[in-house]
Amino acid sequence: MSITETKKHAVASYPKRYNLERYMFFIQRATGIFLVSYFYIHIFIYNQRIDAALWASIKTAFGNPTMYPMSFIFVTAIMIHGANGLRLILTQLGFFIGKPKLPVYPYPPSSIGKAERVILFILISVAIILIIVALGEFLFFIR
Amino acid sequence: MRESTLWIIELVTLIIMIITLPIHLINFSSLIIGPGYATAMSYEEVIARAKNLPYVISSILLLGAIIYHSMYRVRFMVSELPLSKKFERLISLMCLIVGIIAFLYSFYMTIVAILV
Repeated sequence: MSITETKKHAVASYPKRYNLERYMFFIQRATGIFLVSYFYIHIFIYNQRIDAALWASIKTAFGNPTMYPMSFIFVTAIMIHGANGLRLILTQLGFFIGKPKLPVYPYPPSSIGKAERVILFILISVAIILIIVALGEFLFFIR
Repeated sequence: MRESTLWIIELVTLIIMIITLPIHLINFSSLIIGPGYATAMSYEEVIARAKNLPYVISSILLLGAIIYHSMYRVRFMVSELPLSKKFERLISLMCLIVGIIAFLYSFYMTIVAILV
């Protein structure tokens, strides 16, 4: 098989339509990596509070408009990661995934059911409401 | 330590996070009882929070839970990659060391902030 054919085959076999849970898995990983990176910066910055002059310089740095979107993205990532994580814990512990059944073609995953989707939408809706509240707080702080 | 024990500890840390993260975030929001982000970031308010014992205890619990959860999951993600057992063990050890250093540093700074 030539390189062009291999590429064509790879493109053709690449799944174009993932289900919602697959996208949520990607979002969970992406937000997780971002949160790990930013969390250690966050604790380092916040631990400078022991000195008033140092804290004043930190606040001056926070006065830089580029810091607001970063803080807002941090809170947004926490909300999304937390909401989806809560669904994953419930699923992992066996809630909302239905009873086990015989595998019948085309083998629909028993863990993806109506109850699980409802829980996902409820948790993501709560997260979105909290993100809007956080946005309001940040906009008020900028003003 | 057995993998099942590590997983049970992680479940405990998740419960701690579910309780303590809203306590932490509510101090920066004027949604229910918080003073709002602008006030919460002032030096006086930051030091007042640092001397508030229930808040300090919840912060330390949250800190420990987040560090454990993050390092456990980083290790978990690395273990999904096609790496040798030796490299996996090295990553586990690095996660443990980074987690312990981050926790001890933050714990020490929290104690210093109480004494300021």
